[in-house]
This record gives sequence, C-alpha cells and structure tokens, in this order.
Amino acid sequence: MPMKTINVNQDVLADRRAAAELQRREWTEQGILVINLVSSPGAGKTSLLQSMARYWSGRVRMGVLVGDLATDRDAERLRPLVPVEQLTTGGACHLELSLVQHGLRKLPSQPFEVLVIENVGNLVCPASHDLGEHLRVVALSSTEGDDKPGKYPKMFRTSQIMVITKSDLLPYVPFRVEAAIEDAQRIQPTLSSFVTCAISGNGVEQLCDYLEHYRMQHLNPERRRGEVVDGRVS
Amino acid sequence: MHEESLVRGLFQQVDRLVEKNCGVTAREINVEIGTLSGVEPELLFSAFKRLVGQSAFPAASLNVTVSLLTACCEDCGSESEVRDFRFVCPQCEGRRLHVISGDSVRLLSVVLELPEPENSGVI
Repeated sequence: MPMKTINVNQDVLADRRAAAELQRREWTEQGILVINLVSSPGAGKTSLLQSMARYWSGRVRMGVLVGDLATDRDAERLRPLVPVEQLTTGGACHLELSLVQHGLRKLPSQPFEVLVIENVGNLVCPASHDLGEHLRVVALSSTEGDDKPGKYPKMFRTSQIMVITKSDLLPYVPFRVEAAIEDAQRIQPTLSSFVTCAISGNGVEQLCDYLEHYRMQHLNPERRRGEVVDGRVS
Repeated sequence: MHEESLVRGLFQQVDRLVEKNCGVTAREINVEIGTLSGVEPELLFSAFKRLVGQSAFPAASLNVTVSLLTACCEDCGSESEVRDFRFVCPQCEGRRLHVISGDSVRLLSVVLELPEPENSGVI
C-alpha cells in the first residue's frame, strides 16, 4: 500500500495557544486583568485571595474562578468576600481554557477589574496550559522549602510573579527568602517577588498595588474608556 | 496526567492531516519533546498506548525524540544550550535569554497510508 510522509513541525498545543491569545486580547479590550494563580496544594492560594479581597473591598472589583479536582470548599471560603464560581475538574490535574470560559459564563456580578483563576494545586501540569491570563502568579509557601523553584523549572520559568506565602512561619522553618528568590531568578530573571502573610495581611498591600499598577500600565482601561466616549484616537 | 490531554490534542491534529491529505489512516507519528516542555516521554508513551485504540488510527506507532533547551541572548546575540535550567548567557553573563527551542512538544511528521491507486492489480 502507498505511504506518504507529511512534514508538519508544529507545536502540539498551537491551537490552544491561539485560543488563549484570542481570549487574552478580549480580556485586554475589556480592561480585565486576568491572573492565573498556581502553586502546590496547600500553599495558601485561597487564603491569599481572601486577604486580597479584603484589601480591595469596595475599591477594586474582583472575581474568582477556583479549580479543584473535587468539592466546592474553596468557593465556599471565598463566597462571603467576592463573586466566585467553582470549577471542578473531575480528576484532571490542571485547568484548560474551555473549562475556564464555561465557568466564566456562570460567574455573577460582572464586569470585573481583576479576574483570578485559582488553578488546581499542582506545580507541574498547569505550567503547560495557557489560560489567556496576563500574569501567572506562583505561590510558594515557607513550609515547602526554598529549593522548589529549581525543582519545578517550567512553572517558575512561565510565571511573572512569585509570592512567598506564610511569612509568619519564617522564624520556625529553615526557609531562606533570598535563596528562594535567587533560585527562581536563575530560571526566570525578570520574576517579581513578594512576601506575604494572609492572616496578618502583611505584604498583601504591596502585591495588590503592584497588580493595580500593572493593570493601569498594560491594560490602560481609562484611556480605552476615554477613546470610546470622546471618539478620539489617542 | 496532562499527557492524556496532550495526546488528545495530537490526535486532533493527526485527524486533520489524514483528512486533508486524503489518507486512509496514520501509520507513524513523530514527535519532538523539549527538555522544558513539562512532558515526560515515558508518560506520553503510556498515554498514547492507552488512547490510540480509540482513535481513527489504532495501528499507528509513536516515535519520540528529545530536543535540548536552547536560547538566544538578547544582549550579545549568541545562541547556547541552557543547562540545568540556568538562564544565564555563558558568553556575556546576560540574563535576558529568549528560548529558541526545547520548551514545547512538536509534531514533526506523520506517515500516512494512502488509498490504493484505482488501476492497481490491473494487468
């Protein structure tokens, strides 16, 4: 039987990357800063979001999509503070854009200024999946050890911000903040780092202010709105 | 287990190639896995074995090659291999490195089985 070799040389995730790029452009147009929050399980992603929601309360409109393999426990914790929708992956180890888009349609009280997608706790698989976010934020807790960035290079390489969480435990664990930052910046030299404690709120203000500033700089919603009202091209 | 999701994406791509080239089925799928792709060749193989039976090309085989992580320095322009995921230019110690290869999974080529020519077997 005749055979034929077809040369392709194309990224297997090319379709999904293109879909993510399209979604990112749409969110940029809408002035919504979208954050993909990743970490290992138990690093304190939900606690960090609770703390951020308290800081932004009444000032910055924030929505959350929260992914887990099962249960809606994280959504329950966040519901008193922000509009939230639980995404249950049914065993899958990461979120994909289609699931995020489906969840977003059900999320109440839109539009938002900031949308956070809390990914499934996993430092491996979510690294390969672009959800159309503007920023990937990786949380690393003080109890995990400062050697983690080098062990999960893909995740730290594809993140723009690292948040070292549970800083209140730093006096009790052998975690050196400088070592963690140095290890992470060896992989991603342009990574910005923050140190936070979700219980006291320490460091959360700096992180939130940075994100607000980023939104103003890169999404420029005020100017965009001005363009529509005035009909002028700036 | 994101290898399964990756294999499903791969199968969609191969499906389209078979259709576009009027093939009967795919016989061989050649893939390149980058060192920083986040994908383990062994896990990709086992996901492939689990799922290929449900595809339109159940007899297809998978061949994998691993590509090294290489980057170009935005400061001095030199290209080098990134060893141990240390993104520092070995020439100028610059830290603004742009990845050239090795951070993705690529479908390199597919061997298709084509239909027998209509006049085959005719003397």
